[in-house]
Amino acid sequence: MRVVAAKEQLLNAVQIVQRAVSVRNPLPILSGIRFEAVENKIFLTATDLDMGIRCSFAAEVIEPGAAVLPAKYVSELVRRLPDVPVLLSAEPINGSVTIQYGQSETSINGYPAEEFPDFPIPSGDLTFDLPVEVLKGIVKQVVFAAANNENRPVFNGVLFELHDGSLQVIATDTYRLAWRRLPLENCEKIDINIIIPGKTLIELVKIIEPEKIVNITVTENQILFRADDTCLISRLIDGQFPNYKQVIPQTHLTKVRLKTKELAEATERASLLTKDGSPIVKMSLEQNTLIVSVNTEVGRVHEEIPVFQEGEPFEVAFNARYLGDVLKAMGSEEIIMELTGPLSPGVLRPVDDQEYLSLLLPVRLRGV
Amino acid sequence: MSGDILLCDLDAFFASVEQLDHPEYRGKPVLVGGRPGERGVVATCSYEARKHGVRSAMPMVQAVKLCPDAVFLPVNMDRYRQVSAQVFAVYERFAAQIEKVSIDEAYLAVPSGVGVETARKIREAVRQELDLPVSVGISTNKLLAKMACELAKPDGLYRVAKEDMPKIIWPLPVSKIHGIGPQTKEKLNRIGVKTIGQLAKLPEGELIKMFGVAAGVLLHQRANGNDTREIQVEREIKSIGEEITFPKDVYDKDAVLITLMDLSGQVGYRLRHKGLKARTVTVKIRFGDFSTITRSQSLHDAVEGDGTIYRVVRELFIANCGQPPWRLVGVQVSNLDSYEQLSLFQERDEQVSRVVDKLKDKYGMGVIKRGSLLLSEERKKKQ
Repeated sequence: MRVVAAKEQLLNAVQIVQRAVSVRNPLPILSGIRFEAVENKIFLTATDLDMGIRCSFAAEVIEPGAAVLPAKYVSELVRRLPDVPVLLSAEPINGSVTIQYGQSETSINGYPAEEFPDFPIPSGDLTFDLPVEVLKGIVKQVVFAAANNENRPVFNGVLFELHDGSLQVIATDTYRLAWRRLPLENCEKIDINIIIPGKTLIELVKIIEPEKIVNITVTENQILFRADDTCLISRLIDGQFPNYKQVIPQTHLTKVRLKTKELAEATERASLLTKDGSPIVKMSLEQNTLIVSVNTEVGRVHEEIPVFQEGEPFEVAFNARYLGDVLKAMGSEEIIMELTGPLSPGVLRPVDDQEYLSLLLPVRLRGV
Repeated sequence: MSGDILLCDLDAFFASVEQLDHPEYRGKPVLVGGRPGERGVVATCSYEARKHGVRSAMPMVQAVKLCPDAVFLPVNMDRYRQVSAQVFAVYERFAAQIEKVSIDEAYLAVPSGVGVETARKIREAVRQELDLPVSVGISTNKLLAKMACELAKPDGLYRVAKEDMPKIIWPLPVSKIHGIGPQTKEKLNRIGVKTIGQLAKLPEGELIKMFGVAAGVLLHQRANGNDTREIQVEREIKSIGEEITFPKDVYDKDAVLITLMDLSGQVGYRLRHKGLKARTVTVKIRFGDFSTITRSQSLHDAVEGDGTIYRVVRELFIANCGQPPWRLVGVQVSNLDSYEQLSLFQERDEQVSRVVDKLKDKYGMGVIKRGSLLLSEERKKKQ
């Protein structure tokens, strides 16, 4: 392989695919990035076997071929290269690659390119488009609620349910649940029900440039996201997502309307005095006032927030961190909070958006 | 403090334990304490012995005279401590706030209004599971709970409401107030104050003149049934652990893993009973040469299920077990969360563990075991 590439493009591609490199992978070659020069393009690929990213850009290929270099060294080096054309020459015998820039060169020892796992791009008929901004919205409003727990993989994922041209996206770590519904054009005939790893979506929105349209292809156990010269392939999570519809309360005893920022700030201040092992804030509602309080060895906080109240007074306790996350994701100046009891899920939703909500499970306090 | 306070006191505790361990002593006067021939005193005497006038702290010599046919036993503190721990484990199922006063006495705080019901449940559980009598006094503060408990004995429960004071408490002698010793009693008797009722009616100023400000105010408050002392819960639990030294050094990794599974279950049981969840799991390994290591893993989500704890324990052991033989292994959980985060979809392992706990609570610890534990016990029996 001999190829000349622009430094900026090379750096951009390295930084994108690097997100799929797993540092602690038992397979040493997976700590590497595969470079392949074909015709007039260079393809960079990295994978941790759950997720793979491929990125390509135009380059002057003198001699086609492939090489695998450790991601850590190649990314640090490329970042520090002068802004000049860079010549990459692979030594097929020992797998090392010489990187020449100006009058200088650095040689990095690589891995045998043929040992890098195959990276077939899945294809199929189940395909639809989503603007990257929509995906970003989903990550902000839904993915935060996903778990990060090896024991129950389905909760590490985000459920994508596309039916009758309407996409529902749900994530839950069982302590909170976020739900978003959005209409999709030209998808009336597509019917899918898949669980995408939360991590995949988080990485995806980081590597796609703003305002791009992402083409999504779903196969039996994989999903492909493609935008221009970048594609991301991820394994889907196998398993049955629990029946989320069943747990969303349909009725409530109390409904309050309040300013998101006021509750978020009160919660933040209150949680300053909580202990690591017990980040609990109490909330009680009486006569159009929501009281947020914390009482610990450190001290006590008492915050009063004016609200519009409909229904009975209540008392409930929440994990301050989860409550903060939910409020941050609301994306609305005012929200509605509905409660049915101190041990039932609270429902939070933006005042003027029927297509989004979060459930938050309370905390049962020990003792009296 | 707005809840109910219970004072649970095990009746003639040491003697009851001896009668439990030696059924032949039941129904007989039993005296536990120093030997009759020496200068010992009675630590505890059974109710049968009390009928003869024997009392705690009475010199043994005198007790022998009063009750020569009694069974005289030395104090077996290790055994009493063991039984006491079992009793407190029962209390913990019914109350989150427990103040241990002594080996056989504890204050429990429970929500307002459920005191009597809780007391009945506790008495029933202690009787059924441990076959021991426990008397429970119920009221709204420690002072009245203690007095109620005196009235509950033996083997009963009694509730004293603040309103019942004049009827029930006031006729009692002043010495029944906790903290009134012989000297105070003598002083009060001298001015004609014999009952708590008389003391209650005495002006506070009078008492302050006699006993000083602090003691005077306290006496006045106590006689009127006021007590603001809160339950002093023992220091917060930082960790829960179980370990075992093998009778003989073990070379078989699977055998160690089965032991670790058992320990994980014991730790999980205690963890759940305290209503806690753990975010760190630690394994302790002592090798044949006495060198010892501990290895921990912190978890993203707090855990409480036996299976989940064991899964982490197993990984830690396999990664760090080195070369046999192994002499001791232990399992510990720490970084405890003292609240229960409710969940939309509870983990199967947690559900199963809770059902297993209920079975153990009702029918004893041995009623249900994991299959691999049973198999290994069978194998041991055959050997």
